[in-house]
Order: sequence, then C-alpha cells, then structure tokens
Amino acid sequence: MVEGKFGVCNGITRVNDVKSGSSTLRKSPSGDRFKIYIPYAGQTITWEVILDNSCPEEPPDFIFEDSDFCPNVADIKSLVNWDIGDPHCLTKVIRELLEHYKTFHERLLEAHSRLQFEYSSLLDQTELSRDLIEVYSERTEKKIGPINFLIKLPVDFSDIPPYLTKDNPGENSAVLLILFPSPDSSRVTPQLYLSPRVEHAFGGSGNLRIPAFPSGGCLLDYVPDVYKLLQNKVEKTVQIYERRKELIAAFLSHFGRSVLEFDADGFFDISFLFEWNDFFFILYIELAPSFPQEAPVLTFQSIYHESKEKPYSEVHDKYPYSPRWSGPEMATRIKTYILDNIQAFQKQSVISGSL
Amino acid sequence: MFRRKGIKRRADGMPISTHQRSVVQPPCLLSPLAADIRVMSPAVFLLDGNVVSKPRTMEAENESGSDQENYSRLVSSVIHEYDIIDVEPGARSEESANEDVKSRDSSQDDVTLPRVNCPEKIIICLDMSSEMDKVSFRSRSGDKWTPMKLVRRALSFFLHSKQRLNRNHQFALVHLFDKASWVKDFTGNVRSIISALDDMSDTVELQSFNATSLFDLIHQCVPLPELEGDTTILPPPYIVRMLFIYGRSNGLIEFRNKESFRQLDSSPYFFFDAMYVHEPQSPENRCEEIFDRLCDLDEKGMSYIFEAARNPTRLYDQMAKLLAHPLQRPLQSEIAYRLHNIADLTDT
Repeated sequence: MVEGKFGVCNGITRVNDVKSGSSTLRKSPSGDRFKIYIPYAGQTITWEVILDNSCPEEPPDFIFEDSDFCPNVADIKSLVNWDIGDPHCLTKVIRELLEHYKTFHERLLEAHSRLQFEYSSLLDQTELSRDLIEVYSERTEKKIGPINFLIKLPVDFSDIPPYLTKDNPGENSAVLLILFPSPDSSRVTPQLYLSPRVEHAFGGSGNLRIPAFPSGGCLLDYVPDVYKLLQNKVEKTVQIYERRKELIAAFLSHFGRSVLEFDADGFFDISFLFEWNDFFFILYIELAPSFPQEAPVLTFQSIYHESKEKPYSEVHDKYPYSPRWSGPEMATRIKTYILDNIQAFQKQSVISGSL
Repeated sequence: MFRRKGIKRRADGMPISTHQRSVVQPPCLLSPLAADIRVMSPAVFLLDGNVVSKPRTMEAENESGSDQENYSRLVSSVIHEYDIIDVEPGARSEESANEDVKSRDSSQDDVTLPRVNCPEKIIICLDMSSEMDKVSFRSRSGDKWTPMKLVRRALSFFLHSKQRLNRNHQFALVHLFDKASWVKDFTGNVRSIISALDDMSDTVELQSFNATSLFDLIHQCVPLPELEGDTTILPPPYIVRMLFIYGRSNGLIEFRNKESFRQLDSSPYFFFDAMYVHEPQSPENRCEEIFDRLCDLDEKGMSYIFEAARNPTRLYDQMAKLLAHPLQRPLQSEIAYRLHNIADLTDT
C-alpha cells in the first residue's frame, strides 16, 4: 500500500512539470509518512505527508514548512472526499494544496503596492495567464524578501530542430525567474532557464544574453521584451539551421559516394575524400554559426605529404560567395572552385610537404 | 599479334584488363570477355532491390610497359567507381538526414541504423610478422619501403585526419603475434598512439594467424553499446570498428572457433575493416586465398576490405578510404571518389 502511494506521488512530477523539474520522495522508517519536495517559483518546498498504516482510509495529515500556510481543510475537496481506492487520490490533494499555496502567496503581495502592481499588470496587460506565473515571498520576522516571480514564456518552439538523445529531453520551455531582494528594491535580477532541447538548438547556454533589468523598470515592459528576444532568436536559429541542412544535403547529392563524415546533428560540417588524376586528397567543409552570412571554410588536406608533423593542409575561406545563393547553387560553385584549385594544391603540397 | 598500348596479355594471348579507371560499365552487363576473365574470389552478391554489388577482387599489377613483370591472372577494377549498377541518380541525396535511413545493406537482418557521426572506438590490429619488415613497396623513382614503414606513416595520417573529423574518436592498438595482445587502450591522444607505433617491439617470424585469439581478446575487453530506445533514430554512444592490418603473403588466417566473432558481429554497432598488404600475387604465394578469407569475415556486407602491393601511393589511398564513418559511408561497392569537370556532366 505504501508502494501504491509512491506510485501516486511519482505522478506528481506531471503536476509540477508546469514550471520545472519533478518532485522526489523520502520516507521515514515507519513507511507511512514521507516528505515531498516540490519545485515552486524557483524554490523547493517541502511538505510532509502523514498517513496511518493501520487505517489507510483516513486522509493524510500535512506538515507544511511554511507555518503561515494553513488552508481550511473543508476547502480541500479531494481531502474531504479522500478515496484510498483511487490511485490518484494523493496527486489530487497535492494539486489542490498547491493551488491554495499559490493563492496564499499571491495574497501576500497585496500588502506591497509595487509588487502587487507588478503582478496584476502582468496578468491584466500581457498575454500571460495565471497558470504561467508563480510567485513566492520569503518571510522572516523582520522583513519580507527575496520575492520570486517565476514566469513561463509562451514562446513557440515547435520548429526547433530535433535533439536526439537517449534521455527524453522533455518538453521545450523557457522560464524566466525574477528576484526582488525586497518589495521596493531596484536591484532586480532576472535569470533565464531553457529546456535542454532549446539550449542545444541555441548552441549552448552561453549563447543567449538577456538584458539586465532596467532600474526603475517594471515587469510589464521587461517580460514582453525578453519574450520577443527569445521568439526572434528561435526564428533566426530555425532559419539558419535550415540553410545549413540545405547546403549539406546539396553536397551529399553531389558527392555522397565520397563522403567521410558529416555532422548529422547541427549540419555544421562535412568532409570528403576526392581523387583527381590519381591524386587523392581530403576536403573539409565547415560552417560557422554565422553561416550563411559567412562563407563555408574549405580546407584541403594531403594524404601523402606532411608539414610540421601534421598532414599538409591549406585553408581557403575567401572565394567567390554570396549568402543569397541557394544551397544547391553554393554547392555547385564550391565544386567549381575546388576543381580550379586542386592542381595548385597538389603542387604546393609536394613542394611544402615532405614525403 | 601485336600489343596494343596498355593492354596486357596472358601467356595464351587473351587480354587481361588492367586497372581501368575511367571505364563506365553499362548497368548489369558484364563485359563480353567475362567468360575469359577468371574471377578469383567467390561471388558475393548483395541484393538490395536492383543494386548488385560485384565481388571484391584484388587489383592486378599495373606497371605500364614492362614485359618482365609477373602479371597476375586476376581481373581488377571491379571495386572501382562507375562499376556501380543501377543506382538511381540522387539516391544518396539527403533530404533529411535525421530521419531514419534504411541501412544500405538489406542482407543484414533488418537493422536500420541512423546515419549519424557518433564517436568511433577504433582498434588498430597490427600484424607483427617479419614480412612486414621486408622491403616490397617501390616507387617509380626507385625508392623502397617496407610495408611496416608505410603502414606506420599512413596510420599517422589516418589518426590526425580522424581526429580532425571528430575530437571524440578514440583509438586502441593491438599487436598480432602468435596471439593478439593489447598495446594501448582506447585514447583520444593521437600522439601517444603514434609514439607507441614508433617504439614498437620487433617483428617476429610467424606462420598462420590465429583469428580466434584476436576476436576473443576484443570480445573480452571491449564492451559494445546496448541497443536502447528506438535504434533506428537514436545514435549509439559510440560504435566499435576493427582496423585489421595484415601483412602475410603465405600465412593463412585460421579461424576455428568463431564464437567471439559471432557475438561481436551480431551487434549492429560493431564493424570490421581490413587492409591487406602483400607481395604481388603469384603462384608461389597464397595472397588470393588470404584475401578471400578476409572478405569472408564481412558477413554483414558493411565492411571495407582493401589491399595493396608494391605501390605505395595505393596504400596511402586505401588507408584514406578507411577514414569514412561506418554509419555514414556508402557500401564499398558504391564508393566513388573521382571529381569530374562540370563540363563532363550531362546534368548538374
């Protein structure tokens, strides 16, 4: 029966996935009381669930970390209607409690006009709905703060390139965590969290910079700015990804039977072994993140001659090129360039290299 | 009968086609001389729809103009480009490389693998027989080399190039004496492999080679990735490739117990490639038989098996072809490296 509860609790990961992460469980030796760690608004809240092994039909008791949070049991329908036979009984209770917890924190803001304004203006004047925002206020005896606003940005990630890994990279999301050290502070710090597939598409977490929160600014202006920035970045990333893919595909259709390797994930490079008049050589073609603005870099490499203990090679990055050409056109023109330059490369490799 | 330039003749006057590199064979037709041409290796036909790949054969000697050369009775040029039959134009074009592409060989049981450039663990298996230290390669200018010297240099090019292709490839070194023994465990440090090659122990007079010991060793020491998730899409964490370099013209490959080999070969993430260096084929040696034995190890049809004799350039060329990633490269029967001038093409 306790295992059954565990199963139910693991279901909570879905409830909390709305924002981020999953909950974990620990249980004390008696087996009928355990703690749940729930991510909420950038924090992890700990609730202790107490059941009774001897009478499981009795609904659980809860101990909340936050002693001010004390919802009225009668308001919690799934607790009132506790049905041990329902495998989701605990999930439902937790979900409802979380709702109450969220409301509890929303109410806490009412005492502080600036924060209240920030919150309500986001709800009223942007497209953000209540289920995309979580707020949390840390409270001590003397003061309140820091206060977290966790906002899930409704960016359209549907065209993001696939990210093939064994572990499910999960849903695509971008979440903005904004910290107010105190209700009236101007040193507001934002942090952006991207889900793995989105981060991979952008080329790593370092590749997107969000602006600092302007002093005297407000979320109503700032959040939409970050949203637009992200949406633009997504569009741009998808566009240049498609251009790279198109070019690599064009090269493969010309030279597929000579291919050595190519980047099948981001389409950033492809390499071939070519033969010209009995002279074999390797060609590496590499695309920068700024492609198509920047031309692909071509590197010719000898398989017979070396220079300084490495195979002799020549880098060609300045050749007739236009970013406006289509992938197939680029491939054809680069092919012409290669044919025009092999002989010189061959001569040079013999002269400069050693056999 | 007079001799046409470039056409060699056998003792009985029948022509042997030499290494014709620019012949375009019409689809599915053998040349009219087929009946006279002795195909030395067993026919291994891989059927995939209309594509029929020709058997691998060893290249005939290609020394132009010299009567005294001892020419092989083999027909060569089968492996080379344009012998390919019936490939639809653009068959290799990649609309979407991320979608699963049917494994190019349907003779391997229905395992389709994603065409991704995952890291490779390459095991260089180097023959340590003393024949490797016997001079047998010559250039036109008269320079001479032992197979070992050329192989070491070609390996150095191979290692540098492979690392350039992907920093995550790893290499190990195994020496083949009477038994196989590990010299260097997997490392991405190319310099350490090269210096292990430079500091090698001496070669030894060896007869036949015990393949069982090699595959036993590898099966014991090298774990293969498990098949997880949707194997037609998910890339494996790495694949394992053996690069078997053999240099005996008379020492047969003995393979009594194939258990380890079968275990390894049953994984879609295991590949066997070979480079055979040898004396020119003659009635006094058993090169042809050995080459056939090597080709037999290619049970899945995914291997690259190359050979070279006498011609150093050819050895470098073949080793370069071995750079190709097993999951992304064409079948050996379909490789084509020649660059055409645009004007030569009818369509572009």
